[in-house]
Amino acid sequence: MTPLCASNVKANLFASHRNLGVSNDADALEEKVVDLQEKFMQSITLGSHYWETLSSLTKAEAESAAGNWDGYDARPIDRVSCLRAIQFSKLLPMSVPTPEIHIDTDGEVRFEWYRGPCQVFSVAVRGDGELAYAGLFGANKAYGTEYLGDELPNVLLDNIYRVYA
Amino acid sequence: MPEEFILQLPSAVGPNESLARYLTHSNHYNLQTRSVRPTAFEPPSDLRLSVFRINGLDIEHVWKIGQVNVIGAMSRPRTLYGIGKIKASAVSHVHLDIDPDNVPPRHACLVGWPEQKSRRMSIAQELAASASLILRS
Repeated sequence: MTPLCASNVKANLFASHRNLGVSNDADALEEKVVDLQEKFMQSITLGSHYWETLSSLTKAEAESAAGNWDGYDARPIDRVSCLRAIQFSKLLPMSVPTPEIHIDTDGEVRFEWYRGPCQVFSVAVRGDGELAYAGLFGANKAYGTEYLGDELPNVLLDNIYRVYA
Repeated sequence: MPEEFILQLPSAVGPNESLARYLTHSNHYNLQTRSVRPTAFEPPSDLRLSVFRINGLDIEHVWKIGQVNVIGAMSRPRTLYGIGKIKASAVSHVHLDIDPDNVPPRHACLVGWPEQKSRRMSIAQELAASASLILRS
């Protein structure tokens, strides 16, 4: 029942939660959740955030499919990081602005919320699920590492909102 | 390399020296805010970020260096969009060092990047925030 207990601020209808139940009812409930998610994804209102992210990711992937795409010997996009990034994008609450997607020089996918040079927050998604993040908020900065799980880590959500505070 | 580019520079980089990071990708800058984006200062895998020392050069020479030594050295055609210009003091402020290898002339590398990726991202954000964007018209 984790999805029903999730806090509103993190609410994302596309987030997939691990089904820890073993009963037939648990399986049936999971099927209904998946069914509902597919319906939500077709919605222009509810699905737009997710589709915009996917669209940006597809574009970034095309631009960086080959190495040296930046002219400074950048590595081509890491396909595993790309899959993890899709998983990460599903965890983003609909209340946060759609991030820009870039590919890092090491081939990892980066999500960036950018208002200006001193109002920026970035999350790089590694193939092993590590999330390296850094933000600059005026004179303050934050950086660290989290891991991809069933929910968006609070520290990431807090820092995304700091960009727009 | 034209002679004027090989103007003698002190071997050590002074804190007030200007350094140029050539912008070769559209995601290296933001037109709306007229700013350099952190991606422009992300180091490559060898952790040596290429810059050029541009003190004493007029802007046309800055573009020539970029065209000859940066764009010309790339394996496939690229566009030179502009430069992110920073002071050497901004580099020491984020605890990086400058290796003025002078190969090619005026070239230097920002070195001493930490291993932790999140720290490198943070440093790139600080460098970008201290940089001024000069676009090639």
